[in-house]
Amino acid sequence: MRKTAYLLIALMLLSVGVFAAAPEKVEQVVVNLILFDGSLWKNTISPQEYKTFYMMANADNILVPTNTKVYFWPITQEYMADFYDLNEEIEGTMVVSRGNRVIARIEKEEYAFAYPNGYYTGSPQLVRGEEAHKASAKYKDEVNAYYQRVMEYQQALIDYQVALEKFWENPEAYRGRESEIPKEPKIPEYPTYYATEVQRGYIVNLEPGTYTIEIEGMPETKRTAIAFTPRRQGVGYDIRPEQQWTVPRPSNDRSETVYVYGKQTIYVTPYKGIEVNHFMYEKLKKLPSELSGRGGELVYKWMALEYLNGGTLEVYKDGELISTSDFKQWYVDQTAGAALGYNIIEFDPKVQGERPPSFEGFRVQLEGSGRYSFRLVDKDGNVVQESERLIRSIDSRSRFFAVILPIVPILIGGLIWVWRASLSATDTGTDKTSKLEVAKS
Amino acid sequence: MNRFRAVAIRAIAGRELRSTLFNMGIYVAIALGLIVASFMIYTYVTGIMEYGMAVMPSSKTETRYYSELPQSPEPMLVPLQWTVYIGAIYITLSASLSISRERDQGTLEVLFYGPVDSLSFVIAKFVEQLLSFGVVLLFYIAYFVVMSAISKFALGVGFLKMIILSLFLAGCMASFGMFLSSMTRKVKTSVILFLVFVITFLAVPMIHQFVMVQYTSTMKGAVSVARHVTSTLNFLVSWISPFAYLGRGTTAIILGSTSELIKSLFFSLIYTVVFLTASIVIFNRKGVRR
Repeated sequence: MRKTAYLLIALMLLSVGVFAAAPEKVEQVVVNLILFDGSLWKNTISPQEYKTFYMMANADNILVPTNTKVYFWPITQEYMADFYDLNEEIEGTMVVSRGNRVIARIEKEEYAFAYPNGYYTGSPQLVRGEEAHKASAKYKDEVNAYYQRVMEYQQALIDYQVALEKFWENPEAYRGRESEIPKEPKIPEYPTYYATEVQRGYIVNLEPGTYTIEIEGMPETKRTAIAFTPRRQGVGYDIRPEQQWTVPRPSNDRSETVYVYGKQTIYVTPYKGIEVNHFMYEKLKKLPSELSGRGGELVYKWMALEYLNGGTLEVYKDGELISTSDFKQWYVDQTAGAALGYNIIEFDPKVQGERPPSFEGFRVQLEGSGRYSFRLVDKDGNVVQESERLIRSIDSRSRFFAVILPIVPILIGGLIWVWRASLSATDTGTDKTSKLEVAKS
Repeated sequence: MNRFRAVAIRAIAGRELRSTLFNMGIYVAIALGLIVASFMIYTYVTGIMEYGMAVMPSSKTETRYYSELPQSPEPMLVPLQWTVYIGAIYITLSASLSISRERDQGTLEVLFYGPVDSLSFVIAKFVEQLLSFGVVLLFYIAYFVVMSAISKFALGVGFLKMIILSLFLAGCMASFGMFLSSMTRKVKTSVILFLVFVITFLAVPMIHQFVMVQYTSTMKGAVSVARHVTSTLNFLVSWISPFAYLGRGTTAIILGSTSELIKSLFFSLIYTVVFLTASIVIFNRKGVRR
């Protein structure tokens, strides 16, 4: 009995040990992939278990073979690298081959990402070599200048508080000298410009196709790269009706028809879209995941990239130009009082102050019945390709007819049945008459 | 085919078509299809009226993949697909009764004293089913043209393709129904077989889809076995079920893949020929007597 108890305790302890185990890390060479997705660069890795990776053709992509520790994370079903534990970048010449033909030998070079419009707005730029150093230095200079302004601000704030105390001692003394009343200093703004630290990697830009990539003399770095292009490019729209501005409907393809009901105002925000293979695109963003892109090998999807600002929207009715709309910023102004409600008004920084615009886009006003269409015209007056959309105004009477029309076949069937019945009665009557006639004769 | 066979086929098919048109059954089937279509169109219109607008693809995103569809296809396409399903089920039921009823009533034996053989009889019955479906389809087309004119929902190229595809589906359904009918001597048995197969054809893909999306952290083994079983069944059904052929064709239309549509039509044609041949062979073996 005691032995059994010991055995049970030992088993319990062992099982606790098993469940508490961290995932096992294996040292291996991965390729750190910084791949362009059409507007941004996304980071993923190519471990030994995923030796084929996917990248956009005709775009700068960065590869960094690295010796690190890799583990499988079962919760998200993906391989992960622990670069904090081990991060040894591999040096050498990268050889790019197509079939048996070497098409490029690439050396590692320095690069950085610059964000001229800020980290959270606009697209980053990949800057290389000396430009990378300049971009990084520019950001550091701007940050240093910012901290200098902050220090000046702190001093100005102290001076202001001292002056303010002096002012409150005898405010009447400032009568007629209002310009001398102390003014609060402005908080300095953080620089918009941002650039990353200068890093080193192999910058690869390939035509569509399948390639073998390897650091010379290091077979563990060998990978297969599949470079693909979007199947189609075009203009997509976020279309929001005035009465539900928070729920925009996307329209990616020019074959899509916009159905509206009655007199309607819609807001149209254009964006650059690409149609890509779902599997390849998902793998580009997250390669070593068992779930990413699964089942999407033959599926093509539209991906919204960046919003397009500016230009005008031409609106047509039955083929004739009826209005043009300019790209504007809009502000959703809540109505006063406890009841819910809002008006969408043109954004005016003088009126709205520091509050940001609610959304941007073109305003399209539709009168109701008719066949409308709109298309985007750029700043130079050229019609943007694939930007046309058809708008159809639906008729509410269709609900009535939807109820009535299914009865029609039943009516036809009923009429035929009545007709057949009357024919059959006539036939029977004739028979009886003829029998009587036969009997009389 | 000799002249006598052609005359026999025309006579039998004409007689059967008249009989079908003079009965209420076909009109009830048409009305059922239209009720389903009307329900969908009513829902679309109500949705647009409540929300103010909707964006619907009027053609496709071209791909040859079968599983994933755009969220909101051409507005008239899904209602048409469902009406075609209902029309096709009616044709299958009608076809599955066509031989067994005549055999059960003893009229088949009498018919075969005349210049009628198994080939001409089966073909005539098949032609009659196709013509009946043609009538059903005419009602559907008229309905959708009227509804499109009233509602302003577009009738795209997909609609035309769907009409053509549905004729091929009718061929599959009619041949399958006749195959069932040729195997049985009693009307009751035919009806039971029809119900069993139709329910199986419709239920297996649904059950398969349900099992595939089940969370597997608990009862992992049971779910895994169920997935294997339903996968195998679904694979079989995808080849035997005429609905699967329509489903593939519809997907090809929605996704705008012409090559897949042609492939789907070709396979539907093969399916029809195989089941018609099997019907003739079985009919010959079973004979014309009760």
